[in-house]
Amino acid sequence: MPSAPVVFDIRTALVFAALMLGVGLFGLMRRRNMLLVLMSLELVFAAAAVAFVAVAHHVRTYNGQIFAVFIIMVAAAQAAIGVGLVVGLYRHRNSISTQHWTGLKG
Amino acid sequence: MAIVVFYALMVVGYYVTRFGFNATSRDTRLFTVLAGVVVMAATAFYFGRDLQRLSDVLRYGLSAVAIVAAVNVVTGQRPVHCALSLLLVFLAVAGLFVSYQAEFLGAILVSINAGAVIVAFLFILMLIDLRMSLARETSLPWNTVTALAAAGLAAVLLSAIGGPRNRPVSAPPPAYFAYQAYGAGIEPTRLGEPTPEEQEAVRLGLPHPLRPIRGTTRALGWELYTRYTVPFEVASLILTVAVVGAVVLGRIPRNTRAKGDA
Repeated sequence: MPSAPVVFDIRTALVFAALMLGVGLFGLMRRRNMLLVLMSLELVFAAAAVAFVAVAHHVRTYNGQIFAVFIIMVAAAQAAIGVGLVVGLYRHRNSISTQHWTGLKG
Repeated sequence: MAIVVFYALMVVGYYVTRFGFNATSRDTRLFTVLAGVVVMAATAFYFGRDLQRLSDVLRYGLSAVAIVAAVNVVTGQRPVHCALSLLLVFLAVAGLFVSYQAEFLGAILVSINAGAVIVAFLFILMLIDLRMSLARETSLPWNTVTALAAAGLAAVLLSAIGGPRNRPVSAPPPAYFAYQAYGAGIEPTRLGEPTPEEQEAVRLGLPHPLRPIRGTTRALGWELYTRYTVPFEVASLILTVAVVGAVVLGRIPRNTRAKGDA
């Protein structure tokens, strides 16, 4: 067994963020349901925000928190656009599986 | 790295529990659920036994909840369950933000992401026929390839973060005290060496004895509206574009509206 940790330091927070990024990327590549792809993307955003906030706390500045504010804003905008796209494409193809949206493949 | 083993064991325990809930035989179900819960509890006990501060306990617990819920988001079968797991991820991440003195971020994460975004996803999931939305997922070999690719990227990041050294908490830099005083709005930018009492309080993770912490929201707003005004305005422009784009995308075209479909 590995030695038990004593504190949740900056390194641990970054490991957590990296693992969550990996999980989100896995979902991004695996999922065929468009809404679930968007949800996996939200996981990636959350991982980045956690890394920024943890480092900001570590170096005692506000810059990382400012970045996290912008990340949350962009995530909200992305969700709005993504949901609009899903609705529009559902009208065209009657499905939200990404396998049916291959028209741009050529 | 010990923390990776911690998260892996938690995910394994969660999977055993979930498998147990779906088992057919009653005895198998009881035994498997119990085994999963025991695995999770033993992992939590083993990895949490040397933790001193409440903030560390909170961070370990919340990050484990976030990882397990994130795994459920990407592997779950039913889209609604995935959306609710994503809600749990956001709540846990908001708790992590609060533990990192980012109370405002935690609040807006709960209200925007856990509130509005999840509700939008659930609305669409409910509006779209669920039989349609149960899209066929990828096959097993492709899943393996995908998992290996994602694990490879995570491994690259982990190797950049570093080895298993577990350094003790170093003395906080003097700017920490300016940060706290700034947040409390008492002495804007007093830099300097902290006093022994202040050092002791920081080492124990206690609030500051002389300058009470009233949160960092005030200082964050100050920064956002002075130094980062232009990026802030650009972000508001992005949000406006997103709103207009969503309305345009969601609008029913004029020529199909007469037919009364959709």
